[in-house]
Amino acid sequence: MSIPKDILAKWAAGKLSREQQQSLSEHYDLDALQAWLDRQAGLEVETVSEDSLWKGIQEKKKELRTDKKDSPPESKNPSTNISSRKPEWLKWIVFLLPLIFLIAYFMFRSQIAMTTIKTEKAEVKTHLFADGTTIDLAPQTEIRFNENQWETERLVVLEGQATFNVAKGNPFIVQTRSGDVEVLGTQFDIWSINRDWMRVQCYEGKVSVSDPQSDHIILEAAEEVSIANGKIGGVQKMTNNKVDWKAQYRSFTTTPIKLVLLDLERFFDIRFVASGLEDEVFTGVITLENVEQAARYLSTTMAYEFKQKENTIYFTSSK
Amino acid sequence: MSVCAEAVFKDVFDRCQKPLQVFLQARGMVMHKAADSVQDCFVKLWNNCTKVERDKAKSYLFTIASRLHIDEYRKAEVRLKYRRGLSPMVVKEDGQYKLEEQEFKYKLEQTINNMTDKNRAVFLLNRFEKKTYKEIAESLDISVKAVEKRMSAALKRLYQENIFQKK
Repeated sequence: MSIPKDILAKWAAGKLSREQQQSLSEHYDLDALQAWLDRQAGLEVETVSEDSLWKGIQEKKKELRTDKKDSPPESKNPSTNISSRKPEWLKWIVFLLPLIFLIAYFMFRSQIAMTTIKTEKAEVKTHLFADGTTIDLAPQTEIRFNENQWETERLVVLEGQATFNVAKGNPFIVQTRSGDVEVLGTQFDIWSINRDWMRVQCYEGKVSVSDPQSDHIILEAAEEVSIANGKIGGVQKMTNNKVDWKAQYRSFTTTPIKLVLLDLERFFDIRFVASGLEDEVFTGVITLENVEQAARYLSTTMAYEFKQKENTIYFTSSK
Repeated sequence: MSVCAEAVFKDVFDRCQKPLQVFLQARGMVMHKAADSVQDCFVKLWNNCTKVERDKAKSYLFTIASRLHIDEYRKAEVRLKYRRGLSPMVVKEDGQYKLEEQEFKYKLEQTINNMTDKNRAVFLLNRFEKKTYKEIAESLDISVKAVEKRMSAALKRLYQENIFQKK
């Protein structure tokens, strides 16, 4: 027995007869659906406030006020505008430019060829270089480097988190979207998620960390520093001079909850939701062995409550 | 009185700004882009105020809104919030209740954002803007039957994703 494709809509609008409703209720739990719809009625779509909308209109009106009398706003005739007539030589440039790029590409291809190594969620990898340097990649991380240039310059581009064990030799530089790390020593860990935030921990030797504005500091063994919103913070002593993610736990120092959760999601095959709590800061060590333990510890420290539904854990404030 | 009078224009604005925002969000624009486009609609109305009669202003605005170039890479990001005055009494001690409300809102948002553009548009206009199927048909320039089919598809998805328990 097939149901007409418009029947649910008619039911929702109250257009069905008693009989029709009866037969429809054999296919759908109509009471449950109605209850859901009633609950939905208490919500509304989020829109921009009336006041800011009105202000924007006033501003746009001002901009156009001078034009209003002169020309009809609908028609903007580009062909009558003398200054917009394109010069002849522009046509040649349009033709030649792609050709130039193509030639340059082939000429310099070997020099710009980059090797990329990437890890997925809950996956770790190690890459060994010819000079003995190793890089351990945490989950959801990508590194790019040019093997051909390794003799002269050791440059690695990093997105995510990795631990570096650098063999002595030429300068070794790691570039991330949130800052650069130059190695003066041997063992360090860099965790960079996006443009605004990065954490560097130094285990052995020294590293120089700089933010996009080229403010830099030098880290020594058992020290860490974070870059937040593009500015480098103060150097902090590490409580545990070990690589945390390899030792099955994560340590955070005044880290916003949204980044803590984003980070934990990489290690567990789960999703975290904490609406409204994202900017609260957390300091502490969270185990990576068991997601429930991790959630419980976080909740106890931050005065949250959590609940797991299928593949998602929801946090709310219990204050 | 013509729309060119400030008081009339403001009145049209008060009545239409929210439905227009929801209309554009329903069709796939994210909140801020939709707000920006709504501003442009009103500015257009202002510029053509001599040509539009007061009682035709609303349909003029909606026509302009429909004609707006909607970004090809649009992605539905409808966010919901509780109505002022109708928000559920949040009992502070009962963390369980608060959690369920938040969960409900989140799940509904997900379902809405996963709908196809056409179904979502009809669902939002009917359930949030309280438009009848006939009014929606006129706004979107389709038949009432087409509206009912899209609405049914949206309801079916809502049912399957949130109510139907598969054991």
